[in-house]
Amino acid sequence: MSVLYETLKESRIEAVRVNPIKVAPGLGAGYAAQGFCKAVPFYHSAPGCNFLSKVILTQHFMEPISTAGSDIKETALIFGGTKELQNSIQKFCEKSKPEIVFILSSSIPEVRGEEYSSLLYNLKTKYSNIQFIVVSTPDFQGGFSEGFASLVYQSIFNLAEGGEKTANQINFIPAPYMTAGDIDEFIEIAESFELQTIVIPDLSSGPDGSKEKFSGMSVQGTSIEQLKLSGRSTATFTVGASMKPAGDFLQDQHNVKHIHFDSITGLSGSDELIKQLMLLTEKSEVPARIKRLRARLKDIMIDTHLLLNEKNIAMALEVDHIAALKSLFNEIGICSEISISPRIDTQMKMDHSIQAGTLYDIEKKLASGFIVDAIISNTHGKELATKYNIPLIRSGFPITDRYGMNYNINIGYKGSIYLIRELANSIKSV
Amino acid sequence: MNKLEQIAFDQPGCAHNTSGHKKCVHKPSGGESCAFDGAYIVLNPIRDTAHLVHGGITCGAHNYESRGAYSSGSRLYKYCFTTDLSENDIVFGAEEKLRNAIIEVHEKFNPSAIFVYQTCIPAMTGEDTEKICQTAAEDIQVPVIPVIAPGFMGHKNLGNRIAGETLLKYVIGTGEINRSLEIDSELSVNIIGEYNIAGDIWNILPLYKKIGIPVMAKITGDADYSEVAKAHHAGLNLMVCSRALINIASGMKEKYGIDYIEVSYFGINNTTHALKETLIYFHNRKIITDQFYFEKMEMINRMENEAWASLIPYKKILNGRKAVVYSGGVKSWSMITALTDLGIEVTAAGTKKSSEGDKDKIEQLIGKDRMLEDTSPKSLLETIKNTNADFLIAGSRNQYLAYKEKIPYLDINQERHTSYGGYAGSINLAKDLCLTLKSPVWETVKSSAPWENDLENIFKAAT
Repeated sequence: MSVLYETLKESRIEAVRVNPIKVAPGLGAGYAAQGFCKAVPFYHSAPGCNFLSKVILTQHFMEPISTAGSDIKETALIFGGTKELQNSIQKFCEKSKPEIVFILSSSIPEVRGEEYSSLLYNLKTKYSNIQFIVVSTPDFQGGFSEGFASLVYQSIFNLAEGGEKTANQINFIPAPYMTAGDIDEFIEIAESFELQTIVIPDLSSGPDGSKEKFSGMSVQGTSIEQLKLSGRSTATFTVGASMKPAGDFLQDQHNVKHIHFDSITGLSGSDELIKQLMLLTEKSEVPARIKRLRARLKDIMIDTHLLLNEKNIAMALEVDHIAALKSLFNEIGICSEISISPRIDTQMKMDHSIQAGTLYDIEKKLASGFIVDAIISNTHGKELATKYNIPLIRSGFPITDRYGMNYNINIGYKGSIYLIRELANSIKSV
Repeated sequence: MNKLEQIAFDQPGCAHNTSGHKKCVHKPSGGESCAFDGAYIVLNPIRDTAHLVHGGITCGAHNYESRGAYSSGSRLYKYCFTTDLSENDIVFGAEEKLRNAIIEVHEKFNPSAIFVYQTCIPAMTGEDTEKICQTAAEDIQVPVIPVIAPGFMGHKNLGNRIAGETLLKYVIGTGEINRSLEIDSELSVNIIGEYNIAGDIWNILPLYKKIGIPVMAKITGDADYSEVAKAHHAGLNLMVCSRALINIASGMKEKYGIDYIEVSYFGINNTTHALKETLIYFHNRKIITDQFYFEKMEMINRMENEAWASLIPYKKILNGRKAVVYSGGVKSWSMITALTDLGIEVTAAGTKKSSEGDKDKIEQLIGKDRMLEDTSPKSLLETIKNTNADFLIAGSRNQYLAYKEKIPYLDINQERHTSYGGYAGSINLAKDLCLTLKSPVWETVKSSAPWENDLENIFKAAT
């Protein structure tokens, strides 16, 4: 036994992550890219980062997904990969004719410190009708949410144009955990206030299953035209701390009012959304549909309170997602003493019940006799839930073993009703 | 090129290794996974070991539970262990972190061995992973095996070879058998290149039990570490995924004098062929008696006939149907035979993921003009349409291509959940093909929406 081993034994900190729920920021960015029209995430990385992202996105959406990559090899690694990158992007553009190419700079070029300005200049002069946007997504900078947020930020930063405001037009920047169902629900609520919504990124019409024929890229989703017009909206609605910078940018740069929510789930969260819409449109009356949904939500809260009050639910999700669910849980008495997130945002540090960790941290608690009534996590929670025979509610990313999950709704009165229904029915044993 | 890569490329067992090196490893033009992924796929099914990925989060998280290799024992291989390197680790080096991680995994999970995968970032910062593994192994007295397969080194196929090379160098030959207690090693076989996807190997093992041939080691599906370690005591190697792990077979021939034969368990004819070849090998070497040999040959015929009999109802539906096949490795040719068994005509086979040896076999089976070099979605669709094919049979990445175009499809790669191996698997395959083909959804989705009909006539009829 080496001396080093003995000395290290004293001072060791946790060095290994076991069963992480974290995924790479490159995957988060690739996910967001699917919500843009004729856009493709172009991975400047070794072949695996591109290939496996495509596999996971395909399994999650259950849709054909398009990604591309530069497939960095040893020579490109040593001598620099910009020239090969340019060649492969050009080849891709000639073949597939995209409108937006998101160049995702992975760990290899970020560690090397690659520089993209001359590449962008060359590409932009050659293809004036294609937008090229570089998004830095190295593994050591965050996870899914961070990758998602920085791609959205960069697309707005690069393409939004100011100008005269269009009345009745708003922007909606959804949180990374939001599904096609959530975006549909938001659009519908906004429509009932006679507002037209530009969604960035519009994952409700990109990879949502509505594509009838095969095509290499998403043919719907946020278009370049919409991105340009986003600077002329009357307001931007953002949800989740990670999406805040994008809304702030539109406010500072193009004078678009930024309305931010930590959560639009639960009664008070949904109330806040409706209140802000009423203030914005200066309407004192809301549609009957919304009134009825609010009454239904109150009703199901009372119906289920005996079952759900003081139940303990463990969560392993991205931090914004936990914040949204917690706002509902606090209203109905659900405790979530174990809330695990891949990374703690500085703003969230106030809430001490959210910890940075992995699924293994939940397993350790369960092994020590801690009682949990249900687990909410992505597909990876399956092994753990089966081992301890606890109901698993799949949410977040990726979900590869259940169908139609992209149509789930988590926001507004309707989403809260659905969430309570699912929780109650999963926990109810007889 | 480092030494390990040199060995992986320079493969004497490969007949296509004609001009120097690099020839026999299948070299794709793009759209394939990396060397790390290739190595991980091969080694991960060893179920009682920990697989520690030293790198950024991408490598660990993207491979976490991504493939359906089943286990009948320990489930430790399903755990994802990663060092998830941070900015500080890259700037100040992560060698100490790795050493700590290895010790931590050992103390908390007590695995039989720890495979440590070096990925792109630590390879770039120049960490000596091999040295760290060596000293850690001395400290914890458990094998710690470095797998040097950073993604930029090449494609998946190269990674497969690196994994094979790693097993040869560090694992195979380190285990001993207790001769008085254990199986007759001279008569036993290893099954190499079978990963127990959807439980394939559980359909194959009972067949060997029936014909009285013990299986020494499965490499690597549903295997324990100790089992792989004593693989060198077997009498014969059965190579399944021939091109991916041929270096294990040829290496074991060179090192331990164990012969190998190439087999496949997809389809009834292939399965029978594999079983009979095994018996013939041992009979030729007088390891089994004439009586044993003829008895067991008869048994194989009986099992085969039973399988054919249970296929009859499915064959009625499938006979004369046409399919386009696109797969890689051993499946690219053995799936063609398996489909021919069912009376299905293969109108085209994608060969982009196949090595030269696989291509030769495909050519023998369906002829050169049915081989499809361009396997882009567009070309696959055109081929399906032009040849009037009824199904697409491919890996999961093409699943939604087929579904979008409303073409029946079957997944034969690693993400499936039904076993298609052995006799039982061949029946599953026929069953599933019938299920997709006979589903009413294909007709249902063809119906037109109310607004797509001739509206004028509808309005007229209503009034």
